[in-house]
Amino acid sequence: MKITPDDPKLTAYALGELDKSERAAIEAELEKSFACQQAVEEIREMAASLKKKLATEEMPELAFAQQRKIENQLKQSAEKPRTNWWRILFYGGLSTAAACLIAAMFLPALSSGGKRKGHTLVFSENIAKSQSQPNPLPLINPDGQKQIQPETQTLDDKTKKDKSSSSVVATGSIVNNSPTASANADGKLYALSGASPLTPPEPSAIPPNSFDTLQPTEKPSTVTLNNSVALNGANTFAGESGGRVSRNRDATFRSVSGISTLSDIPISESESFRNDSRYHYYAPGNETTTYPHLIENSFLTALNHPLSTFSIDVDTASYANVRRFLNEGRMPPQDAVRIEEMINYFKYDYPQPRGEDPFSANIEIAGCPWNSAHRLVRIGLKGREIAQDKRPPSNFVFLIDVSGSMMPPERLPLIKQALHQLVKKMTENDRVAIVVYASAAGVRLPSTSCTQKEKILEAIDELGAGGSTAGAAGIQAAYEVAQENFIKGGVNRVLLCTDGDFNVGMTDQNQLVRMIEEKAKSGVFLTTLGVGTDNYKDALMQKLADKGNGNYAYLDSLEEAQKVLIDQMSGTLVTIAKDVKIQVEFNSAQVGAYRLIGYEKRMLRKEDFNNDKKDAGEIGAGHTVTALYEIVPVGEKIPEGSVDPLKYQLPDEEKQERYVATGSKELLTLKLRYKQPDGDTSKLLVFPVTDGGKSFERASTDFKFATAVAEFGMLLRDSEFKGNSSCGSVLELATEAKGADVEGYRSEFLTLVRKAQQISR
Amino acid sequence: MTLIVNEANSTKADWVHAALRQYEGPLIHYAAQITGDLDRARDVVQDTFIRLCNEKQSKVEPHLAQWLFKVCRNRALDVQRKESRMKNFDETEMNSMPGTAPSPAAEMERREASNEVSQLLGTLSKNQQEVVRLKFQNGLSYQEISDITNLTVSNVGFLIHTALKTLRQKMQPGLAANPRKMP
Repeated sequence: MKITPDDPKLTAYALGELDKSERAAIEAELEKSFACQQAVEEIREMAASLKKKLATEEMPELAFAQQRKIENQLKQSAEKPRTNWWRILFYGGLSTAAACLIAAMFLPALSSGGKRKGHTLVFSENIAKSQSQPNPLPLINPDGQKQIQPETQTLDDKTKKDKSSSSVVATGSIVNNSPTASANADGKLYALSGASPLTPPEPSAIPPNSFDTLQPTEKPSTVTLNNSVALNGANTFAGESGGRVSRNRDATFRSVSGISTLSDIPISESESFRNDSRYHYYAPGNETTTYPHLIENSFLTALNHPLSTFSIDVDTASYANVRRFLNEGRMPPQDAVRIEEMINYFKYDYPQPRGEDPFSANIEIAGCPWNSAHRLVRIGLKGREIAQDKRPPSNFVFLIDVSGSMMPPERLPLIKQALHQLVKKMTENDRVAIVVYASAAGVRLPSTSCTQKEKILEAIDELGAGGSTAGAAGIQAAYEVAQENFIKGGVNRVLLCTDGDFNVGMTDQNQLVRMIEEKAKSGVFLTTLGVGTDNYKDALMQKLADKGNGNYAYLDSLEEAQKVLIDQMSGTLVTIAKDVKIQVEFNSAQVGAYRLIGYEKRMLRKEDFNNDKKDAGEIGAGHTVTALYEIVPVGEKIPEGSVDPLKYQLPDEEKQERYVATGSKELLTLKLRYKQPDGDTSKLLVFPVTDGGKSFERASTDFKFATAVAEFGMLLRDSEFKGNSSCGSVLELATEAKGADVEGYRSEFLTLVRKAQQISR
Repeated sequence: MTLIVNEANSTKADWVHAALRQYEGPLIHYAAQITGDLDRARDVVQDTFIRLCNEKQSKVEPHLAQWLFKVCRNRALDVQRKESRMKNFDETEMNSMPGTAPSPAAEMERREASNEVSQLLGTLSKNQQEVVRLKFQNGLSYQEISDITNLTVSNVGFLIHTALKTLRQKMQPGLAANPRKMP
């Protein structure tokens, strides 16, 4: 075949319309003709710019009356089965009536014949039949059945559609009740101290105070659990890292530990948790985006719930989503605000891990700005950083939603740009495959070494949106490709890029989630990248990432894509420890009550901590994870509903006295578990912690900043625990704690707080 | 483990709404190209969605876009035929005319004179405009476009090819001067 630059086939080729053999034929020709190559390039450019232009075209809408007509039709069609039912009843009734009439006319005659009884019977049977017939109809027609409810929805939707935004805000209310059934801890607490670095200090210098206190306890508790090393204070430090403990009052209290490895991100709530009534779904006001209803963790007494157990979470999607709302001039729905994801959006300066464990553990305790009687405990983990050139060889599969809904510029085009940049950062050790799905799924680019970046980039450029969304088939195909090209000891990861609107094929969420869960066992990790606004399925994206040993980011802009995929490339893509769980045991001698701020969807049952089958969150290279506990010291009033005194238990006061009498100064014991990314057995780390009584003013900058973010989150959620928080105090705090802020994220936070302030006025 | 039901597009209403959100605008543009008038286009699109409400979801869903555009197209052609029968001398003119001559389409164009896109597309024939919209605004494949328009796949390919060529020249007038690029 000979082609000229003006051949329509060339256009078809450039637009990806040819099948394999035709493509091969053209490619052969292309080799020979520079002019043709040039033409292909120009066609693609033209096509891309045309797409862009068309995407910006203003979209006309139906008139309101026309929309109404459609709604009415929808309602009617939903009612159809019913209508039929009535029609049948009616006609049926009519004919029955007619029959009766006829019968009546003949009855006299019949009755004289003595057959009357029999006939009447027959009639009534008929009646029964004609009445019962209709019933099956509606039942049989599933469509019809389903549609009955939608009517109401429809209206709602309509309001939504009518543009606006305003309604969103109204929606999510927070219900508070005490959530964590599973968590447990009780005890009382005193908050004590300030900052003592637990972190990987050097052995020799284990200083006095805090560590001293720590040691005794630690030893005993530690060792036991897992085969692996449990660390305890002094020993650990010494043995492992040889660091020096710098005791610095102002510094953070770091409890370090070592942990070793695990994987990337997320995790999970136990199923029981999911089923739990606090986790229902509803769609907030004006968008079809759905957020699971989150009920804020409330205060639990250390006496009755001494253990608090949760999975780490390094997702940041909620912050990006909140930012999007605020930038659009509206308040985010309360349920879209996940405080832990907001806190974790920012990097904190925790020390690098030393020794064999893949992350360092840090703790800092200081006063609480929104309630001066309370203490705040900050637990921070920091994953080992991996230099770009030390990144293990990687096998990536981009699984891209190219359905029609992905067409707007902030969706597929954004994804394409982001992937473009990502591919540019890859090295010859990496491989990339592209699987797309829309009406049908298919492998667009077989796994290709990054020595051929041009080819990969070209495949990305060619992606165009159209069709409905068959997500399941795509996921299936992507994992297959990932498994075929599995790199042992390397990074194997599927990156799912979508607006989350799975509407074709397997659309049952639970099935999708189960499938992902199954696939995760193959050792392939998952990253979900969400885009788009209106039909965006936040909850589903998050769940897929949780179950797929994955992480989840929401890309509201190219800058965010840059942060997630380029600046934090290793963090997002390279998992260093998986199933990372945290369990805190509170000392009732010191802690009256405590509350975990955020992490509502990450709570685990206390038994889950030691259960290695229980999935939990992953940490990526260089990731930091931060959790805050608000603590009510023993003796302070516990903000909690009252319960009748228990009949068969020792009275709380008595128990409390006994605990206090032990004289234990420890505030809590922090326990961590993690697995190597490819491991099945977890390693336990245990650190007793004492509060040095540091005031909030003397807390570290990072502590203050994290606190400001938490406070802002509580304001957005209108938390019942916000105390005397206000945008003003958040601003003041965050401004003071902004630090160097090289990347500008903290300044941006300040801008957002100001926006929220304006909007809420 | 099954509490979470509300999210899937399980009901027909959800499905129709999703279709509306996604295709309302593109369909109106598409219909307007045929009817030459936005208001009539809106009516056509309304009718299209009303028909969708009566369809079986399972039947239409796998090829929703094709279905919508096809139904919309047929409806638009009906409307346009009826219109032109009323003032029937216009008929021939309307069907065969490229977008350059004064026509209802041009009328609309004038209305949206600020709109770069319609200006750009206005330089194409009606057929070209139609396939270009289907291809580049709606991301449909040649095959899908062929199903919608009853043109053959190679006709579709030819129209797109020539449309792109025309547009390339329009957008980068310099190209014409370059013999290598302008064979």
